[in-house]
Amino acid sequence: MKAIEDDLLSLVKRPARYAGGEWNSIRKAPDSVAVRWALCFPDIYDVGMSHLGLQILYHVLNGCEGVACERAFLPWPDYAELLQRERAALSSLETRTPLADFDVVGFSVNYELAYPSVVRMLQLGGVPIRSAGRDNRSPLVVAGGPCMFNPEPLAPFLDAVALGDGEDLVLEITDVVRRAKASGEHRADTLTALSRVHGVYVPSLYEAEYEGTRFIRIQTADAAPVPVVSRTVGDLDAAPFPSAPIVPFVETVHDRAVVEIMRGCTQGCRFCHAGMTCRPVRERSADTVCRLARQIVDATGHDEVGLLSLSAADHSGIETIVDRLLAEFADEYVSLSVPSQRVDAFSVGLCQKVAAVRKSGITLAPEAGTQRLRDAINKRATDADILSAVEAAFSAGYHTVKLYFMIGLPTETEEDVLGILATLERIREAADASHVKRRGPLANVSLATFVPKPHTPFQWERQLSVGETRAKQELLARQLRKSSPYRLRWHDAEQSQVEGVLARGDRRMAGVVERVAASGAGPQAWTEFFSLALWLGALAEEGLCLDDAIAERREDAPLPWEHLSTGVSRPFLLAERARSRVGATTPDCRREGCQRCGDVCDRVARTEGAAGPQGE
Amino acid sequence: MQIEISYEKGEELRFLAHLELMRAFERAVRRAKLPVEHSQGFNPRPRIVHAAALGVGVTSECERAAVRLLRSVPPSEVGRRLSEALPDGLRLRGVRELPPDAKPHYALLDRAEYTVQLRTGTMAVEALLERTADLLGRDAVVVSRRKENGVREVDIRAMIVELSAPADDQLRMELAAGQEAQAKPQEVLEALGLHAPGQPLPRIHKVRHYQYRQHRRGATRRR
Repeated sequence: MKAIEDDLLSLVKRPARYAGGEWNSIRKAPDSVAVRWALCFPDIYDVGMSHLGLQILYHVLNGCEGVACERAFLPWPDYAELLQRERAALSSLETRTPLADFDVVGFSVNYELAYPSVVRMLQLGGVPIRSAGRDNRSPLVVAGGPCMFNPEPLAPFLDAVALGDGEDLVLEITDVVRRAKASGEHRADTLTALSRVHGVYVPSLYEAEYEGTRFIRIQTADAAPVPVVSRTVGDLDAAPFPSAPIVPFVETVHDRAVVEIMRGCTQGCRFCHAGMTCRPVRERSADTVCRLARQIVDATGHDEVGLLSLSAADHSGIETIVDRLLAEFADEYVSLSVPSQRVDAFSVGLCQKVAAVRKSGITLAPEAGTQRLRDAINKRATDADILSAVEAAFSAGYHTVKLYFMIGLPTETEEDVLGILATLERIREAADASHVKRRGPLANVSLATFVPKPHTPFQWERQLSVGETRAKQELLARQLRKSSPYRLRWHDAEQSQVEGVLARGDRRMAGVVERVAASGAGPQAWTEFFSLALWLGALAEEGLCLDDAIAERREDAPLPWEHLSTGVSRPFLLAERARSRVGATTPDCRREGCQRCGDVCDRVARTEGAAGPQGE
Repeated sequence: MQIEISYEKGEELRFLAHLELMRAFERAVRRAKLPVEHSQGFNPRPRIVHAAALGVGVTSECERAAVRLLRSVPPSEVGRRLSEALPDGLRLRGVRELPPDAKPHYALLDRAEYTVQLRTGTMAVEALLERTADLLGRDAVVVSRRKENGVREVDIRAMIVELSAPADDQLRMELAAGQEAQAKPQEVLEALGLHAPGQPLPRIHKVRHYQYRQHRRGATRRR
């Protein structure tokens, strides 16, 4: 298959998504390099180009001599149809090379509902969908990203999975591919070599066993490692970071310069996948953050700098960083955004400080409506914290706050759900006391549905059914309609359901993913294309049952992802789960000492400065 | 200080929409470190006014923008800095100072000239000439325009100033292109039966955008 003729781009919506040529994009002559990567994102350009991980890996790979890294995104359905009609292949933006002609096709997978899009992109790119169907001429298909801590629902489609931080891993994978190409070795030998790279999981070397409908275990007949342990970049200050990122022409979801100030989070919220899988906390120093911000603004022309982390208020130098950046960009109309999930007056103070150039909203995430439930999920914010945060916001002149809550959390009762209303009521009282002028809603309330995620203390929990989720949503909606200075939004119950089913799925879920991809339905991450019926049909055809998929998991049996390790130990996760049942909180290890979550900190010390693939 | 920037939108970026081009320009101006005046208020934006919105898929060698600077910078210096900051596909043609009270381009320019390259083998020059003559002979050329509140029928006959076919698969057109009346080359191509929605857009290139003041009001020129 060939790439599509350029003229035909005039037939699709927003063709600039597919045309490339952006400022700071890098085009290397294909025959001048030894290894060619297609970095793929299983959602459209506007979403993918907002993803920092993609920009980091693009920068790392293209910074390497003899390596070219190009990009491809999921086409919007109109363009996907055009490609099929023209029998043209999904191709890279940089050199219009079909995916099938690359050495490595690497996916960044950040959302479970994008799984069918991974398969769809392979198919559109002319790459055999299943690993078993590829030969020496096919690219290696690799995936990484947060969802790949349980890659089993995609296992048959992937040649290798990169676990954890990708900065060093992509280069080590590249070395294996470079040697394989030079020696012309057999594909199977390349896969074995990849499995010896620390942090690389090669699914085809492992076999899963089932008893009836139950997953029993997964093991390897080969010398492949068990468990495969994820990679961690030890020193964020020394880690590569794109100082000249690509500047999209198309308006993207997060259209700004981004500096990652911290990786990992030790707040320890028990539902939080990122907080459990990205340990330990690593900070980028104020000096480096400020230097990078300056370089990126100069190199891109962006007028906003976003400081990225899981919890900005927890960076030990956050105030220094904010003060210095505000001074640095004082005369340049460059605004600063510091999203933080922490609920306290300190976070609000930060928000207020950075609102000098362009005022953005204040977001607080109490997550649960009662103290009891917040204790159970280890969200260590008290009612007093919440109140002092909103009071700080109102007295700083904000008319509205954005609040994140979750429903369906383990141990949740009706009282907890109604507790969200009580919390809102207290916020309204605080607003009245501060004489807040009502302009629009007082609070935009975003209601997410809890989805149990692998490698978290809640990985064993039962997930709400669609009906139960709707009942809780409606309970709140009914009450809120009566007295509404609030605007309520919630996540689609059906999408959350499937998200959870895939998040904890085993290898048999791959058949479901493949069926949904083959159905030709549009991207399932988009509500306008999502169809629960499609998924239920595919589950049934694969002989799988939705009730089993959302059920509580047994603690005494292995889980389908436990051959992969994030460094956080099973006993710690179990202990955290037990503590949630008695409402015992677990403090932040950075403030109150080691909580023995596993060997995440030791591992950083061990792997720091490690160069090249390691044996076991 | 107000400066006028003339630039080309080349093949590489022909698929940019006007909004995307404006953003690309804003960023280039920021990278060039020009002391650009910003709007006041909630969301300050650099004061850059483009003469016209160029359609997706259309290239041009005659785009213009007016930029307000906070202090005086020699046009040559503006040109040097901006050239380095513009992406491939946006090429600078010239920079000159505008009088402080200069009317904005969009209020002055009222005519544009385009060349169109149809796909090879679409139509020989004789047949093209027949079609253009036929169109120019009509009393009305009605096209439908999609607006936010539905589709509106517009007679663009008076907005077509000149049509010719210099060679096989080639057209040249001169159209009204001002605030009060403007026709798009795509509309003319559709009226000629040479393009329809759902077909790939022929290569359209804007050659000239200029002021034709003396015939602006009232008169409809026929030939």
